Amino acid sequence: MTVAIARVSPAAPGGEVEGLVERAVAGDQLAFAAIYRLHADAVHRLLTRLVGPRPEREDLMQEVFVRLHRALPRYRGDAALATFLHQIAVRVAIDHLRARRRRPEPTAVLDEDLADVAASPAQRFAQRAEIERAMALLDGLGAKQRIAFILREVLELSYPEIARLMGTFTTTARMRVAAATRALARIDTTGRVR
Amino acid sequence: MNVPELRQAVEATVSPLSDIARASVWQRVERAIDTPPPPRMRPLRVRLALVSSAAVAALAVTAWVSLRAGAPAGAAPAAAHVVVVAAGAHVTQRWEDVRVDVVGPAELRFERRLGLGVLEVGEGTVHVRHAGAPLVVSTPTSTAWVVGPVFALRVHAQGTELASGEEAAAALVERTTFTLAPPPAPSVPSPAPAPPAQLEEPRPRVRAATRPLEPAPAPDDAPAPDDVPAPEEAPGPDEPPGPDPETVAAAAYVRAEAAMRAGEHARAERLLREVIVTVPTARVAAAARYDLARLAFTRGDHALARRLVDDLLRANVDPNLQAPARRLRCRIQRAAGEACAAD
Repeated sequence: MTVAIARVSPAAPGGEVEGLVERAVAGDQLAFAAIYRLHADAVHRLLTRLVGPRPEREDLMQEVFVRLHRALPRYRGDAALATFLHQIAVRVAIDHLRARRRRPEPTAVLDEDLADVAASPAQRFAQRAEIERAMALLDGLGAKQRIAFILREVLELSYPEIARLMGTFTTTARMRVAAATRALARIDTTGRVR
Repeated sequence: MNVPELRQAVEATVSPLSDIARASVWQRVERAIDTPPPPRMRPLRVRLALVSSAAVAALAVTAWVSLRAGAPAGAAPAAAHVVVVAAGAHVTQRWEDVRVDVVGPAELRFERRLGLGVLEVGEGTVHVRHAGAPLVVSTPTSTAWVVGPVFALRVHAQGTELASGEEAAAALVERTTFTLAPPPAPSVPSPAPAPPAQLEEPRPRVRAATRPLEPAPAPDDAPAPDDVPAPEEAPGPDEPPGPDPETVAAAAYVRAEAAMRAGEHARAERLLREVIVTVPTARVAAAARYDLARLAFTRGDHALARRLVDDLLRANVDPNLQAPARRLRCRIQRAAGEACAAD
């Protein structure tokens, strides 16, 4: 399980993380800052994939780390801290997507959101258009279906890993991915069901 | 757009987190974890459940307090029934599904509060039969819920006695009727020690007064049973007076009813005869005649059943018994092949 998550986040040495967690639980703010430095990039990447290049990603990052700080006393160390943190991030993303479905708003992709910094302006324009189409399609899915689909098809996690991150059963994760794939075939780029 | 295109588009969005953004988010995180978290808002369903639970608890507490205080809560007060029975008298009352047999001296009050039957007994002996929800029974010394459908209660200066169940309740009433004799007048202390009080003493007198309705001819040479004293053994003038006959009869009728319900017909018949002999003209004797006639009819003694029913119809002591008595007479007539007036 930890191996798959490592594809998303550069893992820190386990012993060091454990020591940081213990110190953070004891109230050491510097230790928690170290945890933040270790995992901020990974959380940011994961949130971007899950919810898209939205300006509220920083708010979601803040929410993830605040929830982590409150949940650390319950962290028993039976999973990697990265897994624990990504479970929180998935939860925060689901909550955000649900709230966003109640107030739909198209995703506007900016140049700085693009990974390929060396592309020409024409290529950037084409990429932005492609991403906006993709986001419109994904916005037509339910929050959990979307998350399961991205974890499976973009991050290429196994179904047990998806189930663990989403806090559900493997069968349920499989069904969500299948339902999302079926739904995407029926949704047009305006987000409406065909 | 197919799945690989979607994957490519999503991957294309991943730009690295800038140092400024990282520092900005950390500042906000630091501020947030320094301030205590706001109280967690529970979901609406949970809040509604909590509010309704609190309301039910408050209602229950209010009802209990009002029951204890004797004041009705919220709803308009229901009518209260107050029964005061003189010493030695017996009264039967029925309210909805509650029937009480009260042996005086007694004082009680029955009312419905918030749908609950509340029986307050100041003093006396009460035999209660009810079919509904548990009753709240309140006495000067205690308050209790009584679940059983039959129970008896005796409230006196020393406290409260409660017996639940047919037999125990009948026994409590029976014991009461034999201990209700008024206390002897204070007399000049005698150097000789007074004999101990014999609670069982009055029992032979009652048995002496009891004789079968149809006295069977006893053989002359048969010895009289030891526990049946001769009729001439009347209490002497210096003995305390025995219990009131109506009280004895009422107690016997209660026991007879219990015996009928228990299927002990022979015992029931004996007790019903005792009632009829003890107070031949009382209403309880009329009820005893009807029950005895019914038992005799069931047993096949149609002649005795007919005689008892005829007596009952002729005397007309209790108008409520006339219709059932007429129906029983019709059944007897039909069983004998005769035509009934109602046919």
